[in-house]
Amino acid sequence: MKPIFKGNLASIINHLFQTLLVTYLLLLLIDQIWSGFVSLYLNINYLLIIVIVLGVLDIFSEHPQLNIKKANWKDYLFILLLGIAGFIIIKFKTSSLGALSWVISIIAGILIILLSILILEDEKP
Amino acid sequence: METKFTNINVDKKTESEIRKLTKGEFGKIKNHSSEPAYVKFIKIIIIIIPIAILCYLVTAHFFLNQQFNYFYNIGNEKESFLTPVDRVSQPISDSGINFRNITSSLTYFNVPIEDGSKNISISIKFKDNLPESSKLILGAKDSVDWHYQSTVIYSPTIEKLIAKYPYKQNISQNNSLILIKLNTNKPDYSINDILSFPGNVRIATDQNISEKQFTISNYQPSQLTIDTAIRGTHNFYVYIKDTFEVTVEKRDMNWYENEDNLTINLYYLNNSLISSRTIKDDGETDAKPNKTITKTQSGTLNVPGLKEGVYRLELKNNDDVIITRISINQNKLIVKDKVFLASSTVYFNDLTDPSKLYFKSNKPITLKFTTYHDAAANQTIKIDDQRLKIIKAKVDYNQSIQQSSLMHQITSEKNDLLVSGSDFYSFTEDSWFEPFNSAKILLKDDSIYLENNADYVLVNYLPVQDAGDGWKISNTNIQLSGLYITDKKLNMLINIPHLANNATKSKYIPIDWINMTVFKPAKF
Repeated sequence: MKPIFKGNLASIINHLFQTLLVTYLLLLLIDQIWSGFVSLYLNINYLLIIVIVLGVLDIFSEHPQLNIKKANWKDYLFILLLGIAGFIIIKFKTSSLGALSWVISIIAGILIILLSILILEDEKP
Repeated sequence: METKFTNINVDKKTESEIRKLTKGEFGKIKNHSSEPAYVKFIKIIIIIIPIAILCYLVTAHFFLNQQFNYFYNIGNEKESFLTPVDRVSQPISDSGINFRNITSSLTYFNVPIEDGSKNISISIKFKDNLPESSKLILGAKDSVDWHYQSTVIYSPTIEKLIAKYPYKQNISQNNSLILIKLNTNKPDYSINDILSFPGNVRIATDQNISEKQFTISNYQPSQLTIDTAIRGTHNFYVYIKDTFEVTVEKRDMNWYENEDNLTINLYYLNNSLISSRTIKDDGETDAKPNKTITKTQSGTLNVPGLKEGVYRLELKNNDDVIITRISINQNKLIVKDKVFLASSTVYFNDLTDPSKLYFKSNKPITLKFTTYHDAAANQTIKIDDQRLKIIKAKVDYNQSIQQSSLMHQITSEKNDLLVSGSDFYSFTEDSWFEPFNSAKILLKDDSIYLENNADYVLVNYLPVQDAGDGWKISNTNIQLSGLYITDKKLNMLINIPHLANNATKSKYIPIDWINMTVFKPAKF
């Protein structure tokens, strides 16, 4: 597919999309942990619409060629931290389930780590 | 200069060509291949967006006072907000206003409450369809059980009094006190004065005001003898210091059969009996009236070591007895509600002395005079300078008395007269005292009762606003501390007592909307 947006414009769209997507996910996460912290003051659905529109535009934009690096110990540490963070968040949100909460959150944490390692070690560009 | 080109996907030929570049040539290529300044600037702006959002959220949560408004359009077709649904009618449209009728006494709704919120301001638009004895109460759930902290948001009684009498208001964060002065003869007190119970007023209130013990300063007991003959059971209030001693003399009329005993009872004000003494019958238990008899029976009740204060004295008998003398060692004595003056030849030939009664009234009253025998008819009663003719027996004769701080005097020449209408009477001017001139009166939803019994009304109440066509807007402010909030929701109750009463249950209350503002103060 031939990109519609090229050069600096494509770079800006890509940057804007990535930044707002991360912002949206972060706000969603915060609101899930501290209910109302975000939704009380901001309707993040509006942000979601902007992210979707930018995502569509980003598809039609030119992307720089990605370089594939070999995974090092920092990447594995990051994955481990993500798994622990996922475990803590899921435990917090399912704490009312009692013992089942531990099972769900531990399995979810392990899944995050294993899937991340699978993606990290995938050699396809 | 050796430059490392790690992570750059270039073939070896290109790499060797790049290595041959001078520092100046390399700088030019680097500048040309990197992003222009405006792109960098835009990217920095983009990075600032999430930082700004996070800063706004943190500021809003911790550094700014916040208000959250919730508007419940009760007349809305889709949602009524009030539960249970079977206690609320379907939407009704009248004169362009959509509303629903509340058809049962208890209905509920929820309000979202954010953590850290301090108070909530609630306005309700409703149509005034309430009888005077009812009221509109808003409750906020304050425990895990079905218990609500109640606030009266509309009272027809209070609104009626506000429209008629002068009032003062003190609105604070915790409550909105309103003081209505019903008795213009009383001093002009402030709300703070009333809260400290000044001691010479009767207050109807829903506030927790502790009543002061009535005392007469520098009271010195002395002997009081009442020779006014009275008939039947009478209740007195007597101010006692130290030992109390009363001697009562009676004569039996013997108009009816059975024993004619008289019991002297002394009570605390809470009606618990302290001591009692019975004066026996004269020995004649048959119905044999004899007007010539002068023989009396007497008895003395002596109670030592009483705490100084007001007590109730009861002289209980079967109406076949004339009390001819009361002699007590205390000098403040009043009779409650009614006096049957019996110094009349209707009962005994030697009872011919005129009688005098004294009273004060700080409210308008109607005195009632009744005689039961023709011999006592055709007499003129003097009330101060006014004269009232008693023409017939068994007919009530009324005399209006205006409120005044002055002592009134009633004089009857022929007696055999039942006097009622005033709360208290005394037999001498000096023995008069007003033990209940300062008292906490029961706050009833009855404006006439309050006008007759209270000097001031002090309530936690905010007058409603008139919205036209019978619609009213009531406002109230509720502190959230101590309330039971679960899942960030506060359960509220609308209580309309008259809808639980068979006689008034068809007086439904139309509700147009409920508007709520939750106030959340800054944490820092």
